[in-house]
Amino acid sequence: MILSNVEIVACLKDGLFKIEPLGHTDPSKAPFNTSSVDLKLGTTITVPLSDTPAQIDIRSGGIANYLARHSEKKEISHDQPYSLMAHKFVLGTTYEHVNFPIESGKMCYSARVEGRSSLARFGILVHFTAPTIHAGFEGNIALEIINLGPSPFLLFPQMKICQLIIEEVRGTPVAIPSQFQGQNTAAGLKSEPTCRIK
Amino acid sequence: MSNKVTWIPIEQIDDGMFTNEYAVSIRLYDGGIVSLFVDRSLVKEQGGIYHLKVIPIKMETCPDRMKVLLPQETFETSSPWIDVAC
Repeated sequence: MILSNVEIVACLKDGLFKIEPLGHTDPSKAPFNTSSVDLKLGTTITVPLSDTPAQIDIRSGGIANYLARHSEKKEISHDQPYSLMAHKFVLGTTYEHVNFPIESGKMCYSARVEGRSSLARFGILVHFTAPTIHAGFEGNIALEIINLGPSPFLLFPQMKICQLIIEEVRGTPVAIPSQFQGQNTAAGLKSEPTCRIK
Repeated sequence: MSNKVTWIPIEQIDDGMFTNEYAVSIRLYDGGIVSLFVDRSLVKEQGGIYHLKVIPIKMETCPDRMKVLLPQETFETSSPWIDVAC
C-alpha cells in the first residue's frame, strides 16, 4: 500500500523511517505530493572514468572499491553546476539521507525512487535501473542520471531531482534471533581479520 | 537502523563514489570476497579495525558461521545475504 502524504508525515513523526532534512512536516506543502515526497540533488556528481584497461567482471571481488577508484567526484554549486551533455551518464545522490529500519515488532517500510515528469520532458532519467529502496537501507540514495535529450542539461545542488514513493512491507522480512538482541558492538565477534585501510 | 545489530569486520575499505559513503569489501565464510557501497554512518573503527553494521539473521549449524543481512546487495552475488565467520 502506497502511503499518502499524511501517512508519510505520521510515520516520520513516529520515527518509523527517516528522511532528513525535509525542513517541515506539513503534508500540504512541498516537498510532499499527495502520495510521494520530492527529493533534491546532493552536492556531488560522480563521473565514471573511461580509463578502464579491461572489461569488468563482477564475479571478481572488490568491485565496489574498483568502481570508486575509477570514477571522478565533482562538487557542484549554484555557481558551478554540472553540465550533463547529451547521451552522457553520471551518478548523483539525493541531498536527503533516508533510513528505513528493520526492527522486530514494528512495521517496516520500503520505497521506490521515481523520476519527475518535468525532467522527463528534457530526456533526463534519474533511476533507469534501480528504483527500489529496500527495508533496511540507510544512506543517501544513489541516482543513475542519463541525458537522453538532445541538449546539455545543468545539474545543480538541491534541484528537485526525483520523488520517493513509500510502501508498507507486510510481514517480518527477517527473523532476528534472541542471542543477538541488544548487541551493538563488535565484542561478540570471535575473530577479527586484519583490515587494509585505504 | 535497529538496535538488534552486530558488526562484522571489513576486509578492505576505501572512499566511495560519494563523500557520504565507503566502498567496503567483506570476507565470506568460505573465503570469498564481496563488496558494496555503504553509508559512512554504518562503519566504525575500533582498534584499527573497521567494522560494518549489519543485521544478524541466524547462526548456522556450524558454530563459527553466521548469516547476516547487509545494508545493500553486493556486486559479486547480487544479494544482501552473506555468511561470515564469527
